[in-house]
Amino acid sequence: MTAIGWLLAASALIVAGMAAIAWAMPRHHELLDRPPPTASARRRARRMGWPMLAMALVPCVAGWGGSIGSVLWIGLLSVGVLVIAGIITVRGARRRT
Amino acid sequence: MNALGRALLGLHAWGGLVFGWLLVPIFVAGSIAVFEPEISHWLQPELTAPQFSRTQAVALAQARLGDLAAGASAWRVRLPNRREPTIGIGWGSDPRKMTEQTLDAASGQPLTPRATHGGHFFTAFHSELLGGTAGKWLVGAIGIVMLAAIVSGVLVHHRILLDFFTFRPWANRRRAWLDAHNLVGVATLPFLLMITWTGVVILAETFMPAATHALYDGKASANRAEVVKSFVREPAGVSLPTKPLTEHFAAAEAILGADTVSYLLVRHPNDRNALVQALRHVDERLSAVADHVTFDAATGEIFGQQTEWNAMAYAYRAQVGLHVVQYGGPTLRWLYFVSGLLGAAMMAAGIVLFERKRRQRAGDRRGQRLLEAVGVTSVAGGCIALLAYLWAARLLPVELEARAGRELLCFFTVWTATFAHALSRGRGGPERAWREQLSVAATLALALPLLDLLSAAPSVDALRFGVDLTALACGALLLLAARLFALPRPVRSVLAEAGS
Repeated sequence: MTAIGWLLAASALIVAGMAAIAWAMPRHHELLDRPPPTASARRRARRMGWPMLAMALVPCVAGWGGSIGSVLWIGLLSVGVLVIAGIITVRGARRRT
Repeated sequence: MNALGRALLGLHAWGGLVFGWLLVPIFVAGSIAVFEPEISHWLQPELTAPQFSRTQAVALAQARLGDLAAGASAWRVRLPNRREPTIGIGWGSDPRKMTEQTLDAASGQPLTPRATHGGHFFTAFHSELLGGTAGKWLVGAIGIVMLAAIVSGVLVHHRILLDFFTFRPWANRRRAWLDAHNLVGVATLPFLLMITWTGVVILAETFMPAATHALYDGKASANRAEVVKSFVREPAGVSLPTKPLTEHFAAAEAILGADTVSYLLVRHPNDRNALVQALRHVDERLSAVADHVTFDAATGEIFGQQTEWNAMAYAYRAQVGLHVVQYGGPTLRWLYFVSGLLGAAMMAAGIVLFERKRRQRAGDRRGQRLLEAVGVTSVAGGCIALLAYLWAARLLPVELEARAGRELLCFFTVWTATFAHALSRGRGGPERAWREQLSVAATLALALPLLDLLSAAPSVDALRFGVDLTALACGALLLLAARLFALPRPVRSVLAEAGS
């Protein structure tokens, strides 16, 4: 697989993982005027989210090797946080206009 | 809030403000410097970007050096690559002060690029504020305060974990700016810590030279010479033709790896004791150590090679490599570029936040207006001045005397002018100055592709086009930033439009 393929795989895993972790926080449901998820649903979401973030390390290391791959992984985590925050913000802003 | 909390807040707010004034332009310039070769190419439309063969490039370089500098005691050849698609040759007696020439990578014809600081301007501004050793001291001190500001920031904004993923532009203005500052800060925290720490480590030798001075008799290069092996010998004074460099090049790539040799250095060409050294690039290793191999120029036998390094050399050069991002290809470069600009945006938001909060207490006083003017000048004015450099480097007449120096003059003049503008427009709040300067910066960025197409029409290539597109994207973001200061409830409506 080429660099772009590995990058897409890693980004997809990280964005999905961050989405699950954000979904597990009641505050974001509040921002979107939705009832908060139950405690067990939140736990399930967290248990899905964190392993996905960890799994994203695999395509990073496969495409770039151990040292560069782990740097890339940390960088993509930053991007993942901002992508999810952006999506929540745009959806929240739409509800309020 | 207890005394420790107040002390941390004071450190974070005032330290962040005063040092942020210089950190924002340093971060912006550093992000641009990631693409130094591309910018240098963009700034010199005289340079060509043909399809090339590296082996043929070596032969062309040797032919040219044989014509121009048969008697020189050293030759240097920089091979073309995708980011710098020209051949660079150099000759002279001191490898550090060579006469240089740039050749077309396909034909070997000499090119005559204009005199400019090129992309290196951004690196020099980023690492020493164009001020030599004194500048390095200042940048190092700023970096250390930045580390303190990051750590105190994590403690001061203790709600960042609760507010993870949270950005509420529809809330009141201050909340929105604080959300942006916290969110971007916490998301890029690993990058910010890494880049600031490694930056300070790179400069450490400059502000703590005592140990090197004592242990190596004041010769910092002696330290390096212990790590980087040097394979040299005196000339014999007997002439013996150097074999074609293409043969040494092929032998070097067999040892160092295919497509990895970036430089060739010939010592005493056409002497019986001539040597050819090949240096490997560091494009795919985190630790910026360049393996090298040296051949006897006449026989092709290996004279010496270094492909294994001292473990401490790997460890130290990994920190350097992490900062200068030669490794990892376009993915990592873009990641650094975006992360650096996000870091600058986070600090800019912090500056706006602090100055707004202070205005509520201090009112429209002269001191307050001065703080705000410096804030506008540092962030928006810095962007204008950096963009003005690009314009100056392209527009100043090619035949101008001391042309490269005039580029710097343009840069500093424009930056000073933005300060005068911010001061004169600051009565009653800095919003107007912010809006106007960010709009000017956006216009300068958005019009860059136009300048490029009009003044470099015959030679638009992929590299140049990439810079043009990036300038367009940055211009659009600056325009969006200008609108944050334009409307009564700015962030919310801007975002609503962006989202619809």
